[in-house]
Amino acid sequence: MKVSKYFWWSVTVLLSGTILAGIFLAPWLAARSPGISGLIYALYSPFCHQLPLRSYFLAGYKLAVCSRCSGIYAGFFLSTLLYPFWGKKLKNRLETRPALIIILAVPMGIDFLLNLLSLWDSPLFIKNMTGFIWSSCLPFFWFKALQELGRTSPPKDSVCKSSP
Amino acid sequence: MEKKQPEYFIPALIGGALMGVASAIPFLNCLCCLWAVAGAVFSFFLLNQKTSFPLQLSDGLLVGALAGVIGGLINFLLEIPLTPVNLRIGQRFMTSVSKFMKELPPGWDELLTMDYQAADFPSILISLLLSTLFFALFGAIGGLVGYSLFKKEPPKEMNDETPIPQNPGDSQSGF
Repeated sequence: MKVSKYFWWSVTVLLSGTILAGIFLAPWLAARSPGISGLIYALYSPFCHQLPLRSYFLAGYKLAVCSRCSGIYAGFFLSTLLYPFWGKKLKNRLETRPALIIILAVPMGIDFLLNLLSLWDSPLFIKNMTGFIWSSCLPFFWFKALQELGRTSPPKDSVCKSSP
Repeated sequence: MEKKQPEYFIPALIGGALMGVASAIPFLNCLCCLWAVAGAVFSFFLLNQKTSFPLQLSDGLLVGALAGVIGGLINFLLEIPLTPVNLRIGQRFMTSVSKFMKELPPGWDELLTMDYQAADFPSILISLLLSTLFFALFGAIGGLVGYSLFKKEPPKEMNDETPIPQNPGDSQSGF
């Protein structure tokens, strides 16, 4: 159903856009309104270590999440934003391959492990890109799942077709 | 034919407890959103074990989101006593790291001298609502990851797309 598809797309764009904006809002507000800024930093804290060494900076303050997490949020938002512009064929191909979620997490996992074992100290850009690549495939499955939820008609096999 | 409904609550409760507790414990919470996603993956795993029929992607989304809501509430309750402890541990870590640095990154000084301040009630309420929403979103994504890892393939007869004859004449060959 077209209406519900666009409804969910708009809600997801709004939500992921707000979350992405919050990442930049926290440092921007740090000097202007420290209380609100502190609240935003606290909101993101259960999902990110927020270490300054691993974060980008804006206006002299670190972003609300590290570079990898920034990539994850940005990838999800951009991919969601572009979702209606992808061809149907490509969407179908991606949506029917949920293993992609795991495959695209491999670069992030390798980079994470190498950093953890101190074998490599990857630059912020690499961390950012590995997060970006992984999360940019997520909206395809996100919307497919929402479509399944929104399906109100009974499954095809239970419908009695009338002969033409 | 109605779609069979899996029972989401118990798997979501267990996965939610895992994500809520792990995201609050100092040091463990340094793994970014991993715990929120992992808790939801675990919820889907449990749901998949419990359910005899193949689950859909939307089941992953739902059980993950529910686990996220539960995880968000548990995490919020645990964060109340743990926030000052986390702050002190973080400051101690940063102090020891700064000894080896020639130049401190911007904002570092303020983080080292920051004191814990208890928040007022409206801030706590907003924080609870938003953090639960965040956990639910990450949980939903974790549910999708769980589906991709543990989904059961539907039995072959369900995949068979043998056309059902609409009237007796249709089943005869030669048409």
